Amino acid sequence: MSRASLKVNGQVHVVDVDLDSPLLYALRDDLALNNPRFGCGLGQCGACTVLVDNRAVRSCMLPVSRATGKEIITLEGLGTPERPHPIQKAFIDEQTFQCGYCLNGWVLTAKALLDKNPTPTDKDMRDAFESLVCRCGSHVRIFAAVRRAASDMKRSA
Amino acid sequence: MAPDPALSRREFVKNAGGLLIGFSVLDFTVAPQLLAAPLEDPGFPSPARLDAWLKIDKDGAIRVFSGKAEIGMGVETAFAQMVAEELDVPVDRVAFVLGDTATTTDQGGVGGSTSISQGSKPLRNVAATARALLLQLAARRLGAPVDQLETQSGIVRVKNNTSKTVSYADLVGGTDLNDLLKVSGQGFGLNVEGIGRLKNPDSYTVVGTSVPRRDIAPKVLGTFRYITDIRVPGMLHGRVTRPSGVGAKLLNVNEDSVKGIAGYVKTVVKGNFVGVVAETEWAAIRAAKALKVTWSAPALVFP
Repeated sequence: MSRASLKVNGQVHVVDVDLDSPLLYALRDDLALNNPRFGCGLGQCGACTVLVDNRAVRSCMLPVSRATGKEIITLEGLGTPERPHPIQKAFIDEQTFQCGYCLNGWVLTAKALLDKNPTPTDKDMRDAFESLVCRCGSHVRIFAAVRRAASDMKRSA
Repeated sequence: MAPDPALSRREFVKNAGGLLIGFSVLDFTVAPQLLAAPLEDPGFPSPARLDAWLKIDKDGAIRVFSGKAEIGMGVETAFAQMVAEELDVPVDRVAFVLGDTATTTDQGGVGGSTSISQGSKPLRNVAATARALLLQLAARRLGAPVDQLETQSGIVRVKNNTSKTVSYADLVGGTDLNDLLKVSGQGFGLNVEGIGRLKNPDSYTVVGTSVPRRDIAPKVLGTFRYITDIRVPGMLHGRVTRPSGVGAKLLNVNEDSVKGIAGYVKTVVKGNFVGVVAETEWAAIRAAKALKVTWSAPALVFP
């Protein structure tokens, strides 16, 4: 076990962990951040997604050692119930998701996509979302939400 | 809020009032108490009691207890619309305790897309019966026969006399609104019927309208709690070590192979079951992988 310093949602935390352990367990078990979720544990579904230096990353695969010194954002850090991020607002307005277990992947990948490309085409979205899994089949509403978020963010920019 | 640890689980849930709205918004500072509390009454609430299904609080809040669970299909929202419709209350005044086996009737869990088609029947009937009982109470209070009364938004009033009104909360708030219900079926098919008659669907004002799903905003905002988010004091993590194939028998477990893993607690062996327990999830995962287990060759159990 080693002490590692992690900057999560703007706050620096020192955790006592195995540096080879995946970031997911440090976030969930040491920092009690519930939103990055264990789905497959193999980097194949995206339920554990967090932003690391603005890139959507699978926290079940990323060792803690490679997350230190970086800006980590989880769903908790995107917006608050009082001040939701425009992407969260768009997903709520479109009534996206059923069980919602996978939504960290979609919402945070959408954030990384729109930061780089504020006017994505449907093909851009399909490419960005290619390796995410939603077994409830909420895809049509997910795409509608991202289009809505893009348009809302453009208007307020 | 910190509950009295001496309270039984049922007492706690009763006293928690409108705070306890299904599992989704369970306050996790109280969950450890809830889970650790001894079950004084391990039986399900009797479905023959109206107050096993529905309670009206002092402030007029309605709490409905259902053995169904919200797992993303929107049943809490749909149930709220149905109850609001039959009871004539605003839909946002209807809160739920869902799937808590100590405080809800046994509706067989959820499955096969039956929560609406079958699971909602007793809820509609209970809400209609509660409304009928409230009308009887209001008739006495207002000195007018039931057929001269009407209900809207949690208020009973005398038709054509706007000055004579009484709220549901004033009629029963905080005390038991109870009646004996006729129980039929069980599990998914459990139903109850009382004195209330269901509305004609032609008169619906809530059912059939679109209201936002209750669970979506909390999920997208990251405040929704899933079962995997439960933490209790002193909680350990377990992982199962599975055999090499169907029908394989356990021959030997070498516990020394994992004793060096920081956080490892113990290996549990029961018959052919092998699992590891550790202080952290990661230690449990590592131990389950590293544990040296010898299995017999898988048996050919399938033709």
